[in-house]
Amino acid sequence: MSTTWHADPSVLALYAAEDLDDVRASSLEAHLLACNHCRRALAPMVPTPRLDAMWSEISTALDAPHPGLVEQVLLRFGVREHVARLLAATPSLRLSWFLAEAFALGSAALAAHHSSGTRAAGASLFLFLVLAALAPVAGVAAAFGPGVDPAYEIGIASPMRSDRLLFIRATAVLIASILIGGVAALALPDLDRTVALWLLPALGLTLTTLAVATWLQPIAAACTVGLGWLLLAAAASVATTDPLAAFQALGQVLSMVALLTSVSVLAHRRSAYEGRIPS
Amino acid sequence: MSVSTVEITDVHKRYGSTTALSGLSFDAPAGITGLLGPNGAGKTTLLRMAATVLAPDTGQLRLLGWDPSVSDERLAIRRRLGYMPQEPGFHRSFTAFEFVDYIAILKEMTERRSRHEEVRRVLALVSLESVMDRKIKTLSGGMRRRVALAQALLGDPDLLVLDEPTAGLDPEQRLRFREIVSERAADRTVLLSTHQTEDVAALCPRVIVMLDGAAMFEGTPKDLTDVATGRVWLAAERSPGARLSWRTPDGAHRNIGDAPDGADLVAPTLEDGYLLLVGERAFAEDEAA
Amino acid sequence: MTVRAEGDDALLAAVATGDREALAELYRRHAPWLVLRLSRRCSDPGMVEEVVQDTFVAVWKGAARYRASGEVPAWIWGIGIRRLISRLRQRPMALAWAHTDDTMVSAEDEVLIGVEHGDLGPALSRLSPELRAVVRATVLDGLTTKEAATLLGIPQGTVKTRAARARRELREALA
Repeated sequence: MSTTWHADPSVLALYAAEDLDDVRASSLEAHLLACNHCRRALAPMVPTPRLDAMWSEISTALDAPHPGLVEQVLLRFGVREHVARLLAATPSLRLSWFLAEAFALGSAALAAHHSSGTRAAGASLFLFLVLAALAPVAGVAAAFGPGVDPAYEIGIASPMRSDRLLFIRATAVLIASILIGGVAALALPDLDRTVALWLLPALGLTLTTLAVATWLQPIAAACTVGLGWLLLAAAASVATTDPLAAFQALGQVLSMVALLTSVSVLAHRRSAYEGRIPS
Repeated sequence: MSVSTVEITDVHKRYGSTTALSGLSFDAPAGITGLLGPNGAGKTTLLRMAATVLAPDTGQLRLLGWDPSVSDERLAIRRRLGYMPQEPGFHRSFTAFEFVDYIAILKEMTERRSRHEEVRRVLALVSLESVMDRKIKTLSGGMRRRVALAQALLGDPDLLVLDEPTAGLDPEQRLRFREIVSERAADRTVLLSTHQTEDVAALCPRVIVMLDGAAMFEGTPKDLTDVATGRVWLAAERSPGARLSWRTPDGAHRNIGDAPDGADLVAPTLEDGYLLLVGERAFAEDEAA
Repeated sequence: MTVRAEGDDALLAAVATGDREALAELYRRHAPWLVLRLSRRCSDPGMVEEVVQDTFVAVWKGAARYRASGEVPAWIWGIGIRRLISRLRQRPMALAWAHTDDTMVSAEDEVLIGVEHGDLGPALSRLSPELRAVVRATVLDGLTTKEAATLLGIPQGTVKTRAARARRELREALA
């Protein structure tokens, strides 16, 4: 192939106008693959607006977000794209978090399964229920707040209301945790109502955490509520010698009360989430 | 068209037993206002308030003509605000583009196509187009600062609050940063804090010097320089009457303070004026920094 | 917007690291000829534009996988023509053959043709447009029979017959 031969500008112009005969055009095309000089000479002959319009589309396509697995699932469920991005930025909505949760709950359920019929049955069932109830609380703690959100300060200074962001994330965390808990519960020995005993406490605890978070930072709120409840549940087990005392009728009713109280607290104190950074 | 000013009136703020701001008052008109002051002077606290991230214990703020203690007005301010905190944090695995895009969503830009164009625009302003698809953790410190600056420029805000934006930047980057900011400042308000008197001298038509949570000085850089007129002299060593004295590279001692008679007076610099105002404390802090 | 001076290989390596500006430079260099070359195989300008866009997005994503050296334009063309074919597979349409070939082949043209195709050029010009199209698709563009069939909108059997006839006529012309 020649390197010193170049196409005549008039030939290039004909080609650009799509008026060049077939044979010369084919020949020119083969040449253009190998000749920088002629490509450069040809380029100005293609209308710039057309090239710019195509580049704009290319840029748009490149900017299109590469949703991670979680985001894709969310989009599939009809969550709007920008909401899905907000959720994807949540540490506790990452795949690694789900796997950890699934592992912990799955192990606890299997342990309960293996120890069914033995003396440890009650204790291991207690462990599972406690983990399942506290999982969303931990998730909420990791969803928002200065400890876990690197861009927290910038986020506060932005128009999006902090409570809205928190509630979007908390809802997602709650749904995800319940799903994982539900699936893990299938490994429990008796598929009776024990399977769902953790559900109401989980909801109650999560909402209580959110309510307490209007006074304390999310992590502090989660620790307070979570540990506080854990101590109560343990104490109840010991006092009544029924390991699942905290999950029986009274426990369920109390969870419901906590849930309703928290909802009304949140309704009144939503705006307390704004503008709080640690000193 | 809202008034492009920042008005701070008698603001106090305490954290436990530490007083961050005690009776701070100043005005910042449209254009660039620089906040100078040693560590602990309260600059970051003040800027957080200007960014509506923190509320004062007592005192009044007016930002762009609105009162940030009123919920609706605070929202209105935030829609016109760009904030670059002192230690910006980033989500580890985001690319520069994805991070700025995320902030853009927080700034209520929900329409994807226009949002992406805006993200590209601000990243181009800080000359990061070629790396915008790289993960932030692979970017240098200077580049990360530029990402933080880019997100503050989203939406072309009327009020820009920048906390130590040039910290850790090399001279060339600082120069570039000054260009970007002065272009933005035309009819907007920029409030920035810095340790570097050169930034102020080059960039800010208006300077506030803060010390111990209050404003010690408010005026033009020339006014600040003039504070030291007749109070800077060279001598072979530290002179009596000098409040501060240090060796210059060519061997003499530069003294600032109350010059003795017949002293070899020299023209003051902005730094001289600043040091005279904040005294030994600033000097010691700068040396340690 | 800075103009980059590196060769295409270096630019492609930069694209593989996520350098958007490097892609922009590759686009500036190669989009013009790509548009024109594709337009000669597809009469729908909208489809041509979509293919060009798809091509550069594919370049962006596949830059790391480029192993050859010095043949970036050919690589880009390969991506482009295959994108066009897969689109045509979804939306079959008649190829535009707007050019009638009744021009005389001048001496200068002979040089042009001869340089790239050797003696083949003049012989090629004596083929009918349909045969030439097949030769171009299978020989110059390097497509398979199936791909050529999709591109030209004719059955694969016809591609084979025409290719055989073209070969026969060229052999006779060169003999």
